[in-house]
Amino acid sequence: MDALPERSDRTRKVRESAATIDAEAASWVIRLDRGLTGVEQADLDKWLIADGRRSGALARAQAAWLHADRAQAFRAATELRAPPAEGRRHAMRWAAAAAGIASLAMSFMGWQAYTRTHLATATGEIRKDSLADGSYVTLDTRSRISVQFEPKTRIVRLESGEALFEVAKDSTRPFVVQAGDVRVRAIGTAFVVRRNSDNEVEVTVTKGTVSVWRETKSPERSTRLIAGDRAIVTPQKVDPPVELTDPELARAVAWKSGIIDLNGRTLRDAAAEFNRYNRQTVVIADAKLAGQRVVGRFQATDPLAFASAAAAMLDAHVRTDGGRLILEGGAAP
Amino acid sequence: MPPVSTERARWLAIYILPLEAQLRAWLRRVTPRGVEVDDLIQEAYAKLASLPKDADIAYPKAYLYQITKRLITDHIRHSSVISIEALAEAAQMSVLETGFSPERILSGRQELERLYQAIASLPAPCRTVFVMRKFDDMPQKVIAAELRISENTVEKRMSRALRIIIEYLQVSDRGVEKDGRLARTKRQDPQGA
Repeated sequence: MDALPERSDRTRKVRESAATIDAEAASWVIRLDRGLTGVEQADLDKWLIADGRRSGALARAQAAWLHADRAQAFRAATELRAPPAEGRRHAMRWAAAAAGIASLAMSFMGWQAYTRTHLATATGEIRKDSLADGSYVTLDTRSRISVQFEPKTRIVRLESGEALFEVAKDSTRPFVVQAGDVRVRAIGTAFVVRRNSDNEVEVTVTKGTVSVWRETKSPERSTRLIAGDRAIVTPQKVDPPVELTDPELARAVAWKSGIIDLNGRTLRDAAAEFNRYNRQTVVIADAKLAGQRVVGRFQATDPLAFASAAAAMLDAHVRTDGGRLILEGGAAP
Repeated sequence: MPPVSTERARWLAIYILPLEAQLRAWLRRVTPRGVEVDDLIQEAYAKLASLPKDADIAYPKAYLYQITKRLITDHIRHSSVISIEALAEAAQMSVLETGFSPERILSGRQELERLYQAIASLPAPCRTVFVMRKFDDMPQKVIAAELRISENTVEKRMSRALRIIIEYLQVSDRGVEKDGRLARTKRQDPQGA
C-alpha cells in the first residue's frame, strides 16, 4: 500500500482537505487544554494515525496556541489603567488594551518582555547576542537563557549552561541574573555565571561589581564581588570570593573565543569540559589516567587534538569507537 | 499526554511558526502542480514534531527548508505521472537564505503586532473566551462558570478563535495574496510531460 495517495484531481476530491484537518486540529488543541477523557484520548490516537498530515497540523496548532501566550504582553499596557468595574471586567480590559495598545504597548517594556524570550545554543555553538537594553550576552555551548525586561528590572534566567553578561549601565533598572535560586545583581559590569550542576553556581566578575545572594536570603545580606573575583555558590552558602590572577581570569572567559584552557585540571574534568562542546565524546577508560593533571590550550571543537596530546603526554593511546574517543593506558595494542 | 511534547511545541512556536509565512510564499513559487502548499506545510510540521526530544537543530530555517524540499521531491516521485522536468527542477531549488538569524526570529515585535491584529479581529464571543484564557490565564471550566455558558460552548468558541489566529499567522506581513499560486511563470503540466 502506498502511503501517499495518488494526486490526480479525481482522488483529490475524496481526500480530506488541509483546511478541514487544520480545523479539527484546532479543536483537539482546545480539548487537550482542558484535559482529555479516556475515550477522547483513544479517538485522538485514531485520528492521528489515519493521515500523516494530521500530526503535523496538530503540532502546528499547539505551537500557535503557545504562541498566543504572548498576548499577555498586552496585559502590561492595561495594568497601568484604573481597574474597570466588576462584571464586564475581561471584555473591558481587552477594550482598554485595544485602545491603548498602539500608543502604549509599542513603546512599552511589555513588548520587550516578549521580544527576546529565549536564547539557546546547541552543542559546540557559542553565540553573542545583544539584548533590548543594549547589554550583550555570550552563551556558551548547550546553554539557555530566558529574558524578561520590565520597567524596573531586567531579569535574565540562566536555565542551563554558562553565559557572559556585559551589562549596559542603567542605575534605575538593576540587571539580575537568576540561576536556580542564586541571584546576581549588576548595574553596569561584566560577569560570567555558570551552572556547574543543579545546586552549584559559579560567578566570575571581569569588570565592575556585582552582588550575589540566594533567593532564600535577602539582598541586604548579599556578597559583593569585584572585578577579578570568583565565588562558588552552594545550597548552603555563598563561598567567600577568591581573587583570581590575570591568567586565571583570562582562562575563565577563554571559552568565548572557542578555546579550552586547561591549567592543571584532571583529565576527567578536562574530558567533561570537551564533552560539553562536542558530540564526539572523550572517554577516559581507566581511573588512574582520569586523575592525572594536564596543562594546555585547545580548540574546544577539536577533541581529537586534545585526546592525542593527552595520550602523548601520559603514555596512553586513543581508540575510536563510533562517536567516542577512548583514552586507554599503555601503548596501542 | 499531548501527542507533541510541550517542549517541542514551544520550539515550533519560537523557531518555525515565525518562518511559516515566508516558507509559504516560497512554496507558492516552487511547488509543482498537483501538490498543495497546505499539505506540504502539515507534512513538514509532522516531520518536525516527530523529531526526538533532544534533537539539537542548530539551523532551524535551513532545516525546515531542507525537509520541505525533500517532501516536494517525494510527492513528485509518487505522483501518477512522473515529470522528469519537475524532479530536475525540484533538485535545483535553492534556499537563498540559509542559516539561522536570531535577529529575524527574535524580532518578536512584528509577530506580536500580528497576534494583536488576529485577536482584535475575532468575533466578540470568541474573543472574550480567548482573552480570558490567554490574557487572564483562567481555565476553561472557570470561564464557563463566570460567563454562565456551557463548557462545550467555551470549547467551540475557543476552537474557532484558535483557527482564526492560525490563519492570521500564515499570512506574511507584506500581505501575500490569499491563494497566490499564480506567481509562477513556467509550470509543469503533468498530462503533457
